[in-house]
Amino acid sequence: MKEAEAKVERKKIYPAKRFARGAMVCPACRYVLEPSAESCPKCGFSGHTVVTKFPFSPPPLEVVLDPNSFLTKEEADRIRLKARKMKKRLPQVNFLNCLVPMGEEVDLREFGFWLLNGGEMAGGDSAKSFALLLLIDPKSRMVSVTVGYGLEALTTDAEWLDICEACRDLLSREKYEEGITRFMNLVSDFLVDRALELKKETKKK
Amino acid sequence: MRQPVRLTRPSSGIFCVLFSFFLGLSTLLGVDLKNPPSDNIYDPAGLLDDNFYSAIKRRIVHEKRNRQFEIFLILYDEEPTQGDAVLARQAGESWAEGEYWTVIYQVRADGEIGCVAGGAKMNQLSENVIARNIRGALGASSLVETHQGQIEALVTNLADGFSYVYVIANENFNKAVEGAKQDYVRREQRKKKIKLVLAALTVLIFGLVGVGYALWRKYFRKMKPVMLPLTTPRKRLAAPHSGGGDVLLKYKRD
Repeated sequence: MKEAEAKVERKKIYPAKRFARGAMVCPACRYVLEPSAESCPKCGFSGHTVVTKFPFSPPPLEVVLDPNSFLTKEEADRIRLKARKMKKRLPQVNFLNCLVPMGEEVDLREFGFWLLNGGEMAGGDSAKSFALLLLIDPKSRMVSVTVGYGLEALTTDAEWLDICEACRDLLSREKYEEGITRFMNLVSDFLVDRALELKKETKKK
Repeated sequence: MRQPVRLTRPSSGIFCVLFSFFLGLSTLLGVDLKNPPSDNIYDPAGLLDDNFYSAIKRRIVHEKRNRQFEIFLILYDEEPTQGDAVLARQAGESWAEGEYWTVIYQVRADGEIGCVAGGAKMNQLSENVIARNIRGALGASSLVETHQGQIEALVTNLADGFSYVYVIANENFNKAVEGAKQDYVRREQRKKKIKLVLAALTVLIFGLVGVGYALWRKYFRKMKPVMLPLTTPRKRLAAPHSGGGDVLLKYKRD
């Protein structure tokens, strides 16, 4: 694992605009943002304002965040094991799965933004670049995905929505473990394909 | 008129000397094993007179033409070194055109008359049948008093005896040939099958290698770590790690 990390550090860093596939939008009002906007020009949303919406310390980020125990211990363990296996194939990517009943009054996109930026993570802040936070709200029956800057440049919101759509049936039947596992499998296939595709692309140019 | 018996005659002087030297050791060189004697009768000493010679010759020709039975007669003038029976058998094997033959032999007029039989068809008969035929013919011929008469009687009796069992020998021979043919066909078919199996195995092995390679590409290679390219962060909204996004889906089915 250390070797893989060392390899990552030695690798060339490309400008984000080279791969940037999706537009940058405000998580609160979906306004399309200009690069380096300190706050949303439309609604004023930013990292500073979001803490007022969630005035408490974010929990540490883990593979499974399930404070209300929608998953059994065995199910959570199986998801952790799955994440460890995924790590072998995609050493950079950190899967974070959070099941929390928020209700429709809370926007999961804003919550994801707050949680990913504010939560402590085992691998340090650098691990958040390729973090992938899956938020499931069993109360409002909503699902959301928030990714770090590293992943964001290589994927689009539409692609994440497609993957969520593919897990919809399992989640609607409250099969959270199967839903999360399917999500992780689909993400793994998708990111591997994307990595190979980008590898070819970077070699060509 | 009787044809002169063909003998090997070395032409060069040195050969003549050598030949004379070895002649004392063996009379084998006197019998031309490559070519049968004229009329199938080897009689260098002229023990048979013209009448008997003609009668025997007629019978020999008749048997060969009509019954595929070849009879040779060797009347040695001296005892061959390797033995009269051995040389007679060698002569028969060499001279006979067909596969059903007999050689009557005798060393001078006072020697014991013997007979050997051979050929692929003849060998289809049991040893007992052959021996009985020869014994019967010899026994019958011994009743004749004169030497030439004995030879003629032996030829006649042998011809009758062996012609009688030719049908059995021929049938057995044909069966053996047919069996050999079938064996050959079976062997060829087996070879073909083996070739087919080998070809199928080769195709299977190549196929398995191909499938293995495809599986390796599909699954095993997937086990290798895949790295995503690193990019500069598009930092915004005063957020250090993520700019959020617009991924929200209601999974509840109404």
